Amino acid sequence: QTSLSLGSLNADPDAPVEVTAESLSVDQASGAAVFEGEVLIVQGEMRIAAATVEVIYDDASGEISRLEAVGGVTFVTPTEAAESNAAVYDIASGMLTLTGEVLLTQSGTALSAQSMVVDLNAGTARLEGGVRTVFEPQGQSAR
Amino acid sequence: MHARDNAYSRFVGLAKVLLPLVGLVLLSTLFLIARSPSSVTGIPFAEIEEIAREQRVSAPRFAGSTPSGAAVAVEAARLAPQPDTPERYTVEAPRAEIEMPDGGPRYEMQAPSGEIDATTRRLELQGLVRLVTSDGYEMETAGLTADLGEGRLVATQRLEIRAPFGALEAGRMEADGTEGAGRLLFSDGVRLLYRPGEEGEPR
Repeated sequence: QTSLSLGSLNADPDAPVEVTAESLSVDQASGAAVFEGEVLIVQGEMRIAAATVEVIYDDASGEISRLEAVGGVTFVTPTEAAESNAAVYDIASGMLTLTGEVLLTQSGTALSAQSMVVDLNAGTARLEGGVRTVFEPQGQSAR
Repeated sequence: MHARDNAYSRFVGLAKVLLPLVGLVLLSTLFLIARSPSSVTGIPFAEIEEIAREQRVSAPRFAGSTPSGAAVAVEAARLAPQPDTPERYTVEAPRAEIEMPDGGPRYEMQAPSGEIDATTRRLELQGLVRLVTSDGYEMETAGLTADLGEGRLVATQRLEIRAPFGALEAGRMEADGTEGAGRLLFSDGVRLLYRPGEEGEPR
């Protein structure tokens, strides 16, 4: 399980979070709120897109503890782009965990791994699980 | 005639003059110092005619429950039948409450005006509708249809919503208590704005 740390990820974990989607359904028995249909989470310059995103929030304080994105997740910042099957964004602590066939492209080089943990506060990302680097001939990005 | 010199005749002569004077004084007090007539308001004939002409109920309230067990209650300031369509009524300042079955949320909604269709048991709220749910959702929209028979709500205009986890906008809202404790669906484009770190949802 090799891991690779990367610097210079710029994200602002305290910026307002905007989530847009086609629909939001709330199951009032459990209080679960799920965004569906081209869900896009925007915070500062960071964008996370997914098929569905569930909002896990604390009823009393109304604070969102985390956003669980599932289905073709893409994580884009001005300098990096990553894809995975699922992601959990823990807003309170500013940690974003991408899991399932993670493919990270950063200035021409592509890295694939099982999971990637991004610490938005420190701006670092750590790839874990079978990290493989895929070099692209100059000029083509991995995606 | 010696009437002048005996006392009794003099007394009678005097009384003949004094007594009518006293009577006059008493009579005048009746008019001069009597209280002004109490403010007897004129009888509002116009209103009475209006009431007579138009059948209407003031402060109606009715309640019932849906097949799925949701409890429904509606009240209004005034309810009046629409002249052209017999089973449709216009309501003034309607307020409705729907409590979804088996412990589901309670919806309270109100609007400046609305219409009730007795056959389809639908209450259409018009104007600025305000809807509050017992699990922390507050919504404002321009129109809402409450199906009192089924305990289902549909809003087809743009909604501003304050959800427990932030400020929401949506194009359409459906609240349904038929299966289970209730499902709230916002659609036609939903946008959530959440500010981390702020206590509670952004005021």
